[in-house]
Amino acid sequence: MAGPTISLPAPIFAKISPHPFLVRSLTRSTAADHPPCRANGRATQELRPVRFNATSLSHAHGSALVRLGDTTVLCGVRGELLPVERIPQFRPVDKEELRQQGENNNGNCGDAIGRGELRDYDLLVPNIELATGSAPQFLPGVPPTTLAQTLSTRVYSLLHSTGLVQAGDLKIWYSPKEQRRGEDVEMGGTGDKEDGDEEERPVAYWVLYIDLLFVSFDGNPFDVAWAAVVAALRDTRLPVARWDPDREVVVCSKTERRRLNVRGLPVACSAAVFMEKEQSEAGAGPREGGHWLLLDPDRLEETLCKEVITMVVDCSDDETRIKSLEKQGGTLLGRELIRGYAGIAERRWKEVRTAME
Amino acid sequence: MNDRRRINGPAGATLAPFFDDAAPQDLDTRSTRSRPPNATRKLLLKTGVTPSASGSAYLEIETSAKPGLSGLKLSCSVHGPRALPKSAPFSPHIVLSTHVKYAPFATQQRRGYLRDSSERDLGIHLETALRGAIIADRWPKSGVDIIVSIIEGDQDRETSKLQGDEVWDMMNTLSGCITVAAAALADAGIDCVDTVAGGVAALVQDADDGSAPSIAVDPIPSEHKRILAACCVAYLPTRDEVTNLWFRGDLPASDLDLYTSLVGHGIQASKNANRVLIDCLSGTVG
Amino acid sequence: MTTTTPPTLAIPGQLLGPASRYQPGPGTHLHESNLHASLVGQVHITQPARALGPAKRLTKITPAPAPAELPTLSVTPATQLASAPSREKKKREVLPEVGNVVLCRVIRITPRQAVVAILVCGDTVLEAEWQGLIRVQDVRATEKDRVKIYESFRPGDVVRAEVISLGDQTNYYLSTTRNELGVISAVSEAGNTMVPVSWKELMDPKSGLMELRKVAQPQ
Repeated sequence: MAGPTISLPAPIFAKISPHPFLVRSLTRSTAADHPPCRANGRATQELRPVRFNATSLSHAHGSALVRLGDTTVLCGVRGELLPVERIPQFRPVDKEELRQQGENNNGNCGDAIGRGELRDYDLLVPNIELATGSAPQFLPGVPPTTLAQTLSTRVYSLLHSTGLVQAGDLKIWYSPKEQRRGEDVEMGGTGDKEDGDEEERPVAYWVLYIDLLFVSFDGNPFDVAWAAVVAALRDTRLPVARWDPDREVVVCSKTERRRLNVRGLPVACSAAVFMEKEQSEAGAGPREGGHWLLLDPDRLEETLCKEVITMVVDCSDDETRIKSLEKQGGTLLGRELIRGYAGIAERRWKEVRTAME
Repeated sequence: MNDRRRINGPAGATLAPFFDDAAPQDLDTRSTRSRPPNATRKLLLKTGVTPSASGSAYLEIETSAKPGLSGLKLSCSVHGPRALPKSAPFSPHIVLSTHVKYAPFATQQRRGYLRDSSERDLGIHLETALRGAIIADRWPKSGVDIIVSIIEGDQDRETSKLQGDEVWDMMNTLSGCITVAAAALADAGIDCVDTVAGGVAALVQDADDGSAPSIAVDPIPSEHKRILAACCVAYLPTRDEVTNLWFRGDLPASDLDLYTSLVGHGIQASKNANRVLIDCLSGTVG
Repeated sequence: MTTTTPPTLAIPGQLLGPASRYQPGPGTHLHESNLHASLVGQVHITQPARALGPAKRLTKITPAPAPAELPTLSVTPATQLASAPSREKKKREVLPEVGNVVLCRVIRITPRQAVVAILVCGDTVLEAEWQGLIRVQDVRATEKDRVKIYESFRPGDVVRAEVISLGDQTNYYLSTTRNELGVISAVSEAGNTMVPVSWKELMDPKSGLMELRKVAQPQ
């Protein structure tokens, strides 16, 4: 309790001593029947509802607008072409190798190669822009903040590790024989290799620029950003492209578009650990004072918590798979808590899936 | 050099998709204007889209019937009044700083994250337009940041090459920026003498036969054969004042009447936008 | 004049009434001898306070048409409707003005002054952070030359103070000379919230140690 001699109205109390304010609101209602309540009116395990809005950005190939409480993110996916001659160390995947993988194929080996291409040629380019005035601390005219850089990198590595997009979808093939045989046959995407055509070769890749714009910021940026990336990729339709040998360019069809094959539905779920004691003295053994796990923290709560956990799960195969687990700061979350957390993340996954569909 | 702080993608430059020009429908994509020459497109305006900002607004110009033709989409947030940076000298009134930024996916060409000259241009014009409307001396020693994000530019996607239309697109964009910023400023509770709104009028030539050019309000460049001149006006209706006038094009100096009538039409367009602005603001108090 | 009564709701630029009948209040401005709104919000008319006249001796020459006789028109921004019940709409940003009592947090101290961040002005929580300065001569009213800043404030303290000047380009000048002004909340070196003991001492209730401060008289 701050200042027993003074009693201040709630908003002023929140401003001058936010930490005791949050402690007080969490401890206040425990005596009563209902569970502890945060300063924003939510229960500790209560998530803000997530909403996906249909957007129609006509200059992007895919887009999504995601709202989580007062955090709003707009994501646009745009494909651009990268001809193979522009790739400095281009090493075409050996046909034999590819076929071998195709034979004992249950998806996984081919994946590994595809992922290598995605990473080697940098085909996925996610960037997060916070400096849109989305919150008072994010104003334009300065280089990206540490937070923006961290978020971009986290999205980048998660994109690669989850294998959401496959390189095969982004590859544009040229098979001279087939095109000569019937000019009307347009090469779709992944090579349909009917006869061991020696000359069939990839000519270009699609590079996906995934740009995220924070329209409004109120905490928990990663969950929202990741949800927007997934939704926008699911919405992405790239034009059907083929190689024009006469002009030596990749030509896109104006009318035909192909949906990107997005695998799985990984969903991120973050929580912050809020300690009752504001300053923890170094060397103090077992923590004194309580703590709370605050799911889906907002802007105020994020500034007061040091320990943050993010779990990415995918339950699309009727089985909860943990795709990524990140934990920063603090020592409180042990094995037990993390195990229990998978259940919470699973709940989140169901909510997000319903909202997305 | 912002390279190290962002994810830049492949080392080799990538190309925007090149569309098959042989497609039959490409021969005449130039649609013609379906609105009467003095009618503006429908505006949608909403305040309070960014709760974490002092004030904010969102503006959308409704897409015309033709699919693939994008309408303008702008989001604006206002932060302030706030303390000026320590290095700033004493100022007896509020210091405006405006930022206009295209989202990377806003236009046909992918935009970078660094501000380019056209964005700075828009920012300066926006600042002049707003400075005339704000009662600056109510807020000594303080600054206000006005940030407009262009989520979608006013550009036709289907035409694969740009016919020097960008200049005219910028006119429409600026007029939208002015209107959306005025709404956001009112939402932030910063004293203004009036509600400022933007309007565009252009001198267009629709036929090649040398007929006399006509004036159209709120022009879409792809709907006209040629645009000779255009002006964007920021106008205060109650005061009957113009705070910013941006004129571009080629008009004979002798023809003052044409010039005046072009500005007059711009004011007309601004009045239309102002009506939407007032409706929107009255909705927030009602 | 055509308008007899001002409108109930106003948006910037809207005509409210002639300056001959109303005085301009907050949220309005004068233009060509008419009152116009400068904010979006509800229009309020405040009648002038009466009974000022006879009791007061005329010691000063007042401006000819006594302006206090006219009702004041003001426009106050509307608070948000019940759409977001848990969160009240933030009030319109205000600037600290001379005479305002503010709450601030001490950021750093030097022998000459304490630098503070102003958090609350009057009853309004400020969104932006304004910097203020409590100079050594403005800490208390008596024995000014013996005041030591480090015996009055420490970084982290919450202080109630009065704005005495607009100050220089970055700082407002604040004063804590009055009894009810000074430190209202402070944390001891051990990290416990302290309680006031006297006007210049606070006590850590756990360790019983005293620390020196310019303490605000509890209200």
